Amino acid sequence: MKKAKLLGSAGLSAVMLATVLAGCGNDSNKEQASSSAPAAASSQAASSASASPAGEANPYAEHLDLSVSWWGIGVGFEKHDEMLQKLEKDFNVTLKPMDIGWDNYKEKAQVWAAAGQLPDIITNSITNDNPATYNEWVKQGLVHALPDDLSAYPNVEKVAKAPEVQGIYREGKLYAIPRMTYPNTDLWAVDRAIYVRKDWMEKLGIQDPKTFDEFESMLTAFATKDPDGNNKQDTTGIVMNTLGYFKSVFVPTFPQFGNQSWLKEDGKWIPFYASKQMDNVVVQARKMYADGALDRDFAVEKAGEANQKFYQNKAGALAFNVDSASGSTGIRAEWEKNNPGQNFFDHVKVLHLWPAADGTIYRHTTNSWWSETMINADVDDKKLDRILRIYDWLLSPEGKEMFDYGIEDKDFTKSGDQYTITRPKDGDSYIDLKKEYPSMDIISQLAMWRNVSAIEDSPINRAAKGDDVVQFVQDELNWQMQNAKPIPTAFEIFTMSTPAKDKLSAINFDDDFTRMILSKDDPVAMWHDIVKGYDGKGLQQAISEVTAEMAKQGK
Amino acid sequence: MEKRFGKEIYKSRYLYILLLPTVLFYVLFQYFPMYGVLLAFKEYHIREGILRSPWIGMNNFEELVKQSEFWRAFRNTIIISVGRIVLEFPAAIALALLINEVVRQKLKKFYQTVYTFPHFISWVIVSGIMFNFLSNDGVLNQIIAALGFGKQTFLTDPGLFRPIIFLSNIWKEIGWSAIIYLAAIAGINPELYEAARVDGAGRWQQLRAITWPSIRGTAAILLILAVGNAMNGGFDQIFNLYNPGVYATGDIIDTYVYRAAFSDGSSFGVTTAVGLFKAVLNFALLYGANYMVKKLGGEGLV
Repeated sequence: MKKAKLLGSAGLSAVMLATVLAGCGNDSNKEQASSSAPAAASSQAASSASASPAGEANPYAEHLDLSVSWWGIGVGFEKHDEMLQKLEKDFNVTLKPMDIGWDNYKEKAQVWAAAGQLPDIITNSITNDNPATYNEWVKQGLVHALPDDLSAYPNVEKVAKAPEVQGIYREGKLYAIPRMTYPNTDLWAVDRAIYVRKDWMEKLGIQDPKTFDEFESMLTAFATKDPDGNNKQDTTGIVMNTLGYFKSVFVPTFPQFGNQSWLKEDGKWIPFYASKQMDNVVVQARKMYADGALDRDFAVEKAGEANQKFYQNKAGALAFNVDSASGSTGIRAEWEKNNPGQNFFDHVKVLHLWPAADGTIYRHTTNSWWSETMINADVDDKKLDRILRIYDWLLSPEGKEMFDYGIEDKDFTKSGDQYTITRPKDGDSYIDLKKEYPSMDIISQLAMWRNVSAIEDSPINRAAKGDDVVQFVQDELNWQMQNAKPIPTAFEIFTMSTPAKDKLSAINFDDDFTRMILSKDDPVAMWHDIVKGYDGKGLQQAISEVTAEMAKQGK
Repeated sequence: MEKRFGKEIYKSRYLYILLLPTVLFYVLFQYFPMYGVLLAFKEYHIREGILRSPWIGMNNFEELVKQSEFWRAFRNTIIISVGRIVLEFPAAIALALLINEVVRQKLKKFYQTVYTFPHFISWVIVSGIMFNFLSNDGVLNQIIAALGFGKQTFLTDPGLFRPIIFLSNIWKEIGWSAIIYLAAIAGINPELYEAARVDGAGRWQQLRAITWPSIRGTAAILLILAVGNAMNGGFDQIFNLYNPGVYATGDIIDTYVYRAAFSDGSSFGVTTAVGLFKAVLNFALLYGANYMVKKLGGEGLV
């Protein structure tokens, strides 16, 4: 009896203990690596991977597991579609997805770093956004330096040798593969666009604005003069996808505000927010908010949330980019969903900015990349070689062909230079490759953003996006090239690292700018106060250091 | 003595075996991770880990008190916490007493369910509902506009942020917090009420002479716990509702630390220092409240 009692309570305890400890164990049910015999590297991979010295064994003989982080990779890799399978088979690897989200990827990387759980292939954006963190990671040995000799990976080498990348070498070594956005800094011109309802302009008798004041009164009219004719005060002026896009409104007032770069003023190099020219920007921004020209809820809306107001005819303008018009979830498709039977381009156009004080029209430009791939310091030489081979292929023309046309003999056939698309159609256009291969969006962008593929005038784009969208993007690009000049930008300062400049990452400009717009205090006085507060974070010291560094370079 | 203690344990061995998982739980998940507070006095090197990172004395604390944003957050935390104790804490007691006065059982249950339900909705969702309600084109502003008044910016006005925080938290949590009081009320001997009625006491007098004294002890314990949480201030709620426009009145220590640690890349050492600072204050407050309650003749916690 006693024994039974003892057993009973011990058993009960064991159950409780198991419950407690269940949360303790780590998820160790590792998937079995695919036991298929290592496939010989396909001709494509072999041809792009470096010619290994004669006699060397097949570099892909050993099967490797590589963990990789990317925004939404969990969903993208869920189906394990044929494109992902092909990549894994060609390089004899298994890719283990580690998910990050747009809202928290920086935090997640820091947490993983602290917990020693960084993936082998790390998606990050600290070389530009946060050089201090980049230095920290390099100093603490979290990330792997690339080999000094990259000749075995010619396409990776090309990126590593680009002049604008030299600024992120530390002690002669490179710790990141920048994810190039465009092949040159000109193409950024179409990364910003202010869409406006031309039908509303016509109804209210408004011409294209030639100055900020005209622009501002147009937006105010959208908010106050009932442009949709429903006798209700339910419309607003301009909404934004994110604050970054909205900033281009102030480019004519203060060019460097648009790309948040440093400029030379009174003999010193200073960050844009410390410039005298900010005075005009803050006055204009505050006026827009006070007049209702700027969406009253801009500070509380999450990224992309406010676009709905534009789609639902509640806003007269939207700050976004040119290519956002294309695609099945693009703003054109969304607008037409809300306005059945209407053609987006009959109602909406892109508004061109007016000239700045010096008579020049400026267009957006910025650094060639903002995010990068890093390789975990714990990766051994075998894995490093495999990762670099994969990246070399991703950056190769063969890689581009796959991401443009799909899988050969399945989605297209080729004879000489002639491509024949053989993938199925959905209505009158071909089905979207990204729908067919959810992993493609991720794989294709691992090594570079490929934004240029999206905006080039190619038969594949015309087939996939429709002639009018492709033409619209091309027209905009041509207009910008012919009429506008890039914002004068000190590119080298983006990635420059000095002790005090690195600390400036503690300044959250967007928060302070937002606070200034929402406040009722005098905007100029308030802004000066805010910038004075930055001195406590080392602003003046950073200005001296950067000015000295630039002087060394004769600038 | 020694022997008696061992005997005591042996005699109640089954109870101790039952207690074991709970003790283990606390050791593993509450006490063991505490070594992390060492970070407050160290410069954290990710590769070396917490134990091998170099000591830097009180540097992190000095760094902290230099920052004006920290003091702003500190002040807001105090104000918001005091507000919560003064406004939100009594609300639950009032609701419990009111529900208790409902005569029909079915109606009582119905009210209780309706008031408790919001507790189960996360702040992420509640904040979405509130944005729809309070935004520029939200329901409330449409009503205001229809009445011919000017629209208000509810969500970005620093003066309105705290009232919105208090009201929304009362709406969300009042039913849940009232449950424990209702349970205490349910445990009161009905004969007391019968005797009071025979003596001619009305509803109000019964409430004052029987109901309230019976739940006073429970309220005191919960008050001590609430004061002990004063330095927390409700991260979930504020994080989901605030924006740069209301930092002046709504940025509390927890939200400030979150932004400093993860978004702006401040050092883990400094943010741990904040956490330790908070914990020490909470500890002091808890004991202070406990002492006060005991002084006033109530039952304390410790």
